[in-house]
Amino acid sequence: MTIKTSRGDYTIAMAAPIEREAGAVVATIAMERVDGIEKIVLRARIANDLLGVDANSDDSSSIIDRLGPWFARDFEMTRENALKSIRGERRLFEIAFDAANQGPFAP
Amino acid sequence: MSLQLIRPDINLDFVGKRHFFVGLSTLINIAAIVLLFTVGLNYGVDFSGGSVVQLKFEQQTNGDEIRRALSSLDVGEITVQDFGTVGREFLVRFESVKNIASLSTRIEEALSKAYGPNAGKVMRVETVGAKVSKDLKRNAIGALVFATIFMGAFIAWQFRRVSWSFGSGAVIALVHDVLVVVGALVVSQLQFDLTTLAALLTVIGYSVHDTIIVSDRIREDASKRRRESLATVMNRAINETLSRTILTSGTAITVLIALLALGGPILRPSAFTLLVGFITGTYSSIYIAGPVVLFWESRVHVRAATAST
Repeated sequence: MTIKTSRGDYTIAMAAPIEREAGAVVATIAMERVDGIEKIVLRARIANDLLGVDANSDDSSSIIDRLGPWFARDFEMTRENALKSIRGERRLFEIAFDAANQGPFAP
Repeated sequence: MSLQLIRPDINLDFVGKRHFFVGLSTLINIAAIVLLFTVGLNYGVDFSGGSVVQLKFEQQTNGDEIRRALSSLDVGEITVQDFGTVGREFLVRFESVKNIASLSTRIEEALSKAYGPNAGKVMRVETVGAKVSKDLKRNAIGALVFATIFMGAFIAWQFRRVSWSFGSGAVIALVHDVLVVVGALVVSQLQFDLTTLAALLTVIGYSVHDTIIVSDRIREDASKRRRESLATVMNRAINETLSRTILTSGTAITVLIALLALGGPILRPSAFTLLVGFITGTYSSIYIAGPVVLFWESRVHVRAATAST
């Protein structure tokens, strides 16, 4: 999926297979500028309750379809946090979506 | 009994030892200039251009193996450095990449061939074009020169009633501090990028701070003790402000040591720059700015004496 941001067009795609943990699905997502000059990887932890039947599916397209527009709206902050986390803490930035923070997975 | 770090009646001879320290500083500055042109700074991608890729591996590996794995990519010179988890995370710098759009995919394919499927992942790619990096370099040098000249002019104007030489003393002390810090960065080969530049500009601002404190006390004492020589007034002023200098610099340096030790690899170059700069800035306020003023004033008096005969 391609999103338009103030820094240009970015593709949103899975960077690794979906992981399953207790009560949640973890998606490793890559945001890459279409011309390749920048790429940032982050993780989204999504509670199974928010995904419904999609929680058991290995098809990540529904996750990407919902996260893409959300990233486009909050792009600068997400990008900044992801870069800080990778550069400074040497770990991928993780966004948690659950009952308290449903984000793009609100019914 | 109150805590006294420095005795109130302390009278160390700073001015008398100035020739030794000016000579030492001159040697250090010459060495820094030679090193700058022979070894050079370790420019980050901001100033050198190119691409930085952060890689994470499932298994332990090293820089040589990574270079071998990526050698088939035809991306020019590759620099690999450890980053984060030892043996598992690396920063790879490419000087010139012909087709940047597919760089990430090509790297992951090359790593899969060498290490196995999904063994190495690209976590981050950042690219700075050659023109942008050239502009940044030019602007960085301009910022350093402007800050130094402006600081010198400001101090010269503020202390004009005592002597215009205070401005030259401040500028020479600033140039000295910048050269010492740059020399330290060349020797340590810590990365010089935009954050390090910001730290260097902070050093310029801080260095003159201590010079102003000493110069202001000299101005005060010079107006009260007109019969004493400038050298005597200067030495007294330095001794009187020693406690404040040590406390101000000491607290800042303590924080910087903590930042250097605990700040991690990203903050290390700027913490190192600030630490060396603050120590040098304190030193130069005493042993560089003052002697320059004395030298200037003695030349003025010699010229005036020669003219009157």
